[in-house]
Amino acid sequence: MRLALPGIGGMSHEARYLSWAVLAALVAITAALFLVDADVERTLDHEEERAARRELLLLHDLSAEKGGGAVLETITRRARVGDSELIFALKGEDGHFYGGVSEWPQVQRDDGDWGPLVVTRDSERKRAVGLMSLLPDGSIVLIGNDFSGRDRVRAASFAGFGLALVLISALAFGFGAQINRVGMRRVAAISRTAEEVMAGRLAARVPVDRERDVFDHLGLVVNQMLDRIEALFAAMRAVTDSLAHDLRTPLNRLKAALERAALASNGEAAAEIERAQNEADRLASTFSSLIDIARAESGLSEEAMEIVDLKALTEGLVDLFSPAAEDRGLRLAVSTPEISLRAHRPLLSQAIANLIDNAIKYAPSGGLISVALSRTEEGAEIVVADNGPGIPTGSRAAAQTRLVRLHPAEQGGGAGLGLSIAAATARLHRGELTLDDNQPGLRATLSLRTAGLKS
Amino acid sequence: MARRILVIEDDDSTRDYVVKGLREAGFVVDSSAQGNEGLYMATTGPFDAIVLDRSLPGLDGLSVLKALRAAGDQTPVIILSAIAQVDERVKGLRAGGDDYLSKPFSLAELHARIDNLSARKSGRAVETKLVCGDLTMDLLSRRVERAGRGIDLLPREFQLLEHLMRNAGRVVTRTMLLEHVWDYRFDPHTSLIDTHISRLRKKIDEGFETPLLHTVRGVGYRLGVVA
Repeated sequence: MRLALPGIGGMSHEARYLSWAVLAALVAITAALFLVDADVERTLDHEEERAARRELLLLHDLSAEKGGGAVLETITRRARVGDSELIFALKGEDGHFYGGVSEWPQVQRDDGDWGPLVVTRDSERKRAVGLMSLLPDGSIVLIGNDFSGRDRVRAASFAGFGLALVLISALAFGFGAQINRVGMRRVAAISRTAEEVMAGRLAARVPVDRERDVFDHLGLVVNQMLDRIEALFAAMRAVTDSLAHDLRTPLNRLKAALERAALASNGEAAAEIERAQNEADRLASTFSSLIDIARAESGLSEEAMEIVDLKALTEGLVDLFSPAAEDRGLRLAVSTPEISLRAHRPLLSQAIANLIDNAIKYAPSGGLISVALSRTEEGAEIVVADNGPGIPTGSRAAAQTRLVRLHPAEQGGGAGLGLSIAAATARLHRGELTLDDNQPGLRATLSLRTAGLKS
Repeated sequence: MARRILVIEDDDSTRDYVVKGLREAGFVVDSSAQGNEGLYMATTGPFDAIVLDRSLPGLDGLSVLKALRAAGDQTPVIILSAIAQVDERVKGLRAGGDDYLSKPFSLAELHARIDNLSARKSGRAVETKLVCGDLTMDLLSRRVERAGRGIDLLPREFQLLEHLMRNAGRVVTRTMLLEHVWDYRFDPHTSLIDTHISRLRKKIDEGFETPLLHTVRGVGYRLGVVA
């Protein structure tokens, strides 16, 4: 079975994880872009200021040594050959200005401080940074940079980051999808193993690579757990098998001895021997039932499960019991649809037979016993109902407990053990045996929940 | 010619009893208490049937059976087992066993099953008509007659009589009937089979001078002209 995690809001878990991964990458890259941008801006500003101050120093010396004319010449030349973002301008004592501005900035400064300005170049107002300083010849020089250089750098870095963003998103998506796929596959492998074990194949193990990632670690732990369970099962099997062997072999000798004695006797002795033989058979049969219950309760019997035609099985049992029921003046009615599912055939036959046998024992003459098989969501349900005295409401809970606790019936008959087998069989099939009031009579429901299991 | 049986069983008391009982019943019996030796003896055959215990010292019963089948030996094998029958039976039959008997068993039951198996082994032609005395069963038209008088049988009664007629003259036990006619392998009250038999007996024997369906006390039933 494929591992299917239910999605939320129409989105699968895989898609949700991927969306979050991509969104996280996006936020990280955008934050990085702004941090880098601020840093670049600060560095550029610093570099520009240093360059401007070098120029100012030169112009200052020039002004002191050669006067305003030489300064003006230099400014004009620099304004002409300089980079377009460089601003060189000069304002003479007479108020005229020369160089790279078409209008003198409105802010009047001559303190040499580096700071923001608005300049008009080619009749276009531009934001810029720069300094204005009074030269020894009395003119004011303006050295600065408009923002076009910075804009170029910013555009370049945004383009770079944009490309990086696309690449990283694609990679994140790709890696995310891959990691997700690998993860899902590994989890699915573990879940498949669990299903196999549930289906009775205790030797199933999670495949583990030597890479020792988190899934390998999980797989190793699960496998260790399965080793332990398998060892417990082996121990359980050894105990029941040796117990069975140790008790059945002497029982067989007892039966053999009685059979020999029967051949050599007659009259009263023969009758006594026959009674002893019947008791030996009863003992063997009770013992078999106990072993069957123990095996069913421990899940050991799962190995022998197969696909069983429940309709044929139920109808066959009703057919088998019909003459016995008729002899007691009872009617046995059966209704079954076609159902086949994974079940333990011998135990299930025995369990249903026990329920029918019980009903025949307690239903009053002229009564009706109905055996109904029906499909349920998880498997099937067999209801055996009679109109006998039933079990009083007060002691029904006690009856249930006694069944579950596997206490052989004190009241001399096989009924208690018979119902215990039915209850153990129900549990082996992941279901339960419930006893209800049929008003009047007893209604025993044996549920099986093995529909989803593979054979 | 007397039929030859090989008994491989490690419990001395059970083996002695089975060997003695089968000899008294007219079989020629060889025996072994050990898996390896048993397997070797099996190859010295031919035997009409092998009675094989499930748990043996040395080579265990199922391994003996698998080795035998792998070597192409198709001698009928009855597995005896003291281990939980409901699960182990499946394993035994899967390993190539022909029948499975769980301990404690009675010698009569074993005897009946050996008869049944060796009869099966000798093979039968595809029959369309079964006859026992003046009782006839037409398997195609599904008509049953006794002394020319038609007998109406329910489907299950027909199957029951068919099994008895195919084994006419041989003892068939209650558990064998339950296995072959109803296909159940559990331990019901044997009286259930008795009620079916008594109904069948009413239909085929009532009103006729010689009964055909006999009860073999403590064992089962036999269909035949002589009691």
